[in-house]
Amino acid sequence: MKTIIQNAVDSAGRLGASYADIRIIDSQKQDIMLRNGQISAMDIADNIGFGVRVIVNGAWGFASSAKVEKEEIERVTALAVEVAKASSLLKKDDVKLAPEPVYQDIWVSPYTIDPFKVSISEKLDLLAAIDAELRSKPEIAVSVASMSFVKRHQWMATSEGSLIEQTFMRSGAGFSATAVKDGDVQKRSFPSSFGGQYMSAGYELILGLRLLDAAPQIRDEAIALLSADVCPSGQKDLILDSSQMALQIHESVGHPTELDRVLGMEANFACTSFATTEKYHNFTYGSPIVNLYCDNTLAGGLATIGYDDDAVRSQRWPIVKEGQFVGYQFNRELAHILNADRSVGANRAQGWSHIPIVRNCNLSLMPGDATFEDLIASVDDGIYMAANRSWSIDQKRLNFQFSCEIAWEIKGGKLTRMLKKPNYQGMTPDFWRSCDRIANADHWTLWGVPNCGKGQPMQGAEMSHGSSPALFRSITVGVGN
Amino acid sequence: MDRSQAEAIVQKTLALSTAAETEVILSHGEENLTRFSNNAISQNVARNTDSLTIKVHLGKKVGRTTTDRFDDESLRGALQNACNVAEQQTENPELLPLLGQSDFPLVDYFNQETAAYSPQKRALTIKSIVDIAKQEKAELAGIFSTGSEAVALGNSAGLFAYYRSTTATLSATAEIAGQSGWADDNSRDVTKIDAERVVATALEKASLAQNPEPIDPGDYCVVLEPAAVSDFLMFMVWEGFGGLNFNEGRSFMTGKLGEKILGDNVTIIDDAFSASNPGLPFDFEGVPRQKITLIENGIARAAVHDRYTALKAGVASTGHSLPQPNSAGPLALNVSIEPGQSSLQEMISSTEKGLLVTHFHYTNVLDPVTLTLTGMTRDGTFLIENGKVTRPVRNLRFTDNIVEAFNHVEAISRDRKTVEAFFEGSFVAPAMKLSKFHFSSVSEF
Repeated sequence: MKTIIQNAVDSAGRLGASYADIRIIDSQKQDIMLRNGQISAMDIADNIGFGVRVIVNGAWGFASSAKVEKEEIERVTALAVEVAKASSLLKKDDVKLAPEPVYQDIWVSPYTIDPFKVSISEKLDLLAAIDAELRSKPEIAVSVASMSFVKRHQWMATSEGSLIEQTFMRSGAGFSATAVKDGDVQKRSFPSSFGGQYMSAGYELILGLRLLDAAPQIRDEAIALLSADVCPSGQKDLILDSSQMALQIHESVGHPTELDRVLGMEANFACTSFATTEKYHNFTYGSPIVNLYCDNTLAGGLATIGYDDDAVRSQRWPIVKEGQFVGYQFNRELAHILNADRSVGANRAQGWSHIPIVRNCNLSLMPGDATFEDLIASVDDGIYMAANRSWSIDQKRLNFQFSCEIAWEIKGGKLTRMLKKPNYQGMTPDFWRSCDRIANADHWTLWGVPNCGKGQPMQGAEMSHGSSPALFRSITVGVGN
Repeated sequence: MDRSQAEAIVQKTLALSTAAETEVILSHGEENLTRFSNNAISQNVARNTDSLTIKVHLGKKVGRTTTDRFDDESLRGALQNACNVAEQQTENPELLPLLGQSDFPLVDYFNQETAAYSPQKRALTIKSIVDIAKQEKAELAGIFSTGSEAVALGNSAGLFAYYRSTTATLSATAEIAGQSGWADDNSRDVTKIDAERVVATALEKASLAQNPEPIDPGDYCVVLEPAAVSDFLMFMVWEGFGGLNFNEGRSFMTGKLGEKILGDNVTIIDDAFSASNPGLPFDFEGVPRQKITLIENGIARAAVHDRYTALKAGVASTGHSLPQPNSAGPLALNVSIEPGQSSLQEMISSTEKGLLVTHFHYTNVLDPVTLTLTGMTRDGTFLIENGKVTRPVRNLRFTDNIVEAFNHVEAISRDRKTVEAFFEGSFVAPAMKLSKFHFSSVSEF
């Protein structure tokens, strides 16, 4: 493999590339889903291919193919050079890559139990037991239980001399119960919505989630929501559970601080950002207790990797410190915009067939000093919302409206009645500035996000966000209810 | 990948299989996309992808694997994996046998010039529209993509079906002094892309959008351009028209076939053979796609079905299956709203006070059954007063029940456009005027 990838970057150099890299990725995937007792997904996939990225005449070119053969690599490398020459017909400035040491390294993500060595039947037995528990009451119209595993083996070589081999293992599982009655559809999920929990880990994650133990409560909550009151409308104090906080962090801090968006490179699709460069080190993003850090070295994170797809070693750095905006997520190409010495290592591609772009990293809210009970006790009239149901945010990442699966009213410092159709709306900086208390590290959870879409062609990416539950004062809730 | 190449891979795979029933889905894609921003090319890719999905039936057990390696050894390995997976499962008493050959209408949506369009040609087209934008002191961002796809479906019951098509898309966002305008064009034939119209429209929108003022949220009459309407169609497809949601009581059409649920001027059809938005002539079970009237003059007429949901509903499959098994159920993939008698200009002229919406950003579902959605306007939102577009307004968030909103359709345009929704899918949509539509808040720009 080393010879193959070295030949590609050498070939690109002969064709006029001032920089070249090649990534060959061999991946295995296993997605298993049981829906109402029947298998609705059984995707066992293996996939291999390569992508060649070059700079010619100061402009990028990229080409990819599934045929990892010497002649095909030469053809695709030449195509990438041709594409780059076309790019150079309309360029503003030459691409400048921030310096980075040359690495020759092997990196493997830690795990205990290889999920691909656990039998399909064992996995199906667990999913079937969950399904039976969920559908043991007739109000449940749809039960879904699923597991998902990915093993990715990547070789990367750059014309600068880096030669990096990395192996990444990801596991995930969860379930949901949907209760239907008279046109009312209520859903509860565990441990989080949209497939559950995902981490860089092996099958030990699945065993630790104790999915079957949680099934009766989740089922009963879905049924109870059918007769619950609708979340009232108005300005109220709001406590979000840690999984909804992960969504809040992702949409209103993660994406706005991707520097390519800020610079207009996503303007036609995923759009831009309010967090423009004149605000860098000069903007109050949140209240003084808000501290948000990116960390692609974090154990269990879905963006945790030895090196990004720019061959930059993974790092930890602040985005918001004591409420102040102090950091962006960026790559080698954009580092010079901030006069940064090097990239933070945020350049990742979906796989071998996509060009790397700036992606959300493992971005987390640091824990506070309160217990969860302290948060509840400090609210006289408010709502506690849990588990994301849908999300929408404007093209500069300012005006957002998020809804959750379930909520409880808080009156006089106590949790009271269950509420359905909870949602809240806000403006990003105002919302984070209203953050009044954050629960402590005992309540902090790192949540995997396996479904982040960005770019044209659309690329999926995975990352994690950690948070404890947090309290926000005077938020608009129950919009449209 | 032409028909003979695809058939050779499919038949080789079937010949290597030892399972009682085997199905093969082969897909091949070539996507060439040039991305530009800030008046320069920023990304430029040539992607070439293959995928072969093998499904085996062992009695009432099913196993499925996917690979992109087509040599004999890899195919044998994939087939064995599929059998191993099937053997570890419990029996599915509802598993349906594979279908034999049907007569599929011959379609050809492949354009050689589009498939072979070079990166240099794309770059020169982009340069030409960027030059126009620069004259207006605008920054242009967008994509120009050309590509092709091929899909082949074969099985041990004698079925073979093949489809290939090409596609070209030019999409551009113009920004002038912080305000944006947008337009796009797409076709199976790259030579039909009207780049000058795209840039002119985007520039005009951005120019008109200068200095937007906030307006109070609330109920407004709205004139929605086709791209805005397409977001609503996308969620009708995902949440309402599919047989699985319909059967399970999770669709706005459940229990309402034959009832009037939308305005009587609204007719929505799915037609894979329509000239404006054609698609696969067969579904992934090998059933010929049928033209389905989903809504006729406001009356719910039918959901789309695969064989499984059709069986549950007591009807015949309409040929809308995704690859089986799946969790989404059947989907209508070629949906259009029938044209009306109006025009965008007539809708504006007839509006005393309202809003003109170019398109929406990040629309999502709050309640799937009432089809309550929320989303933001983007790239040009304008106040209409006394029959004229008078001034730009800041972007607004809508939160409304679309089934209810489509009961207030005052006018539908004669002209329609094939547009791609923000997340996925393309739809044939007219402009529409709704007499009442609710905006819940306003943004800062």
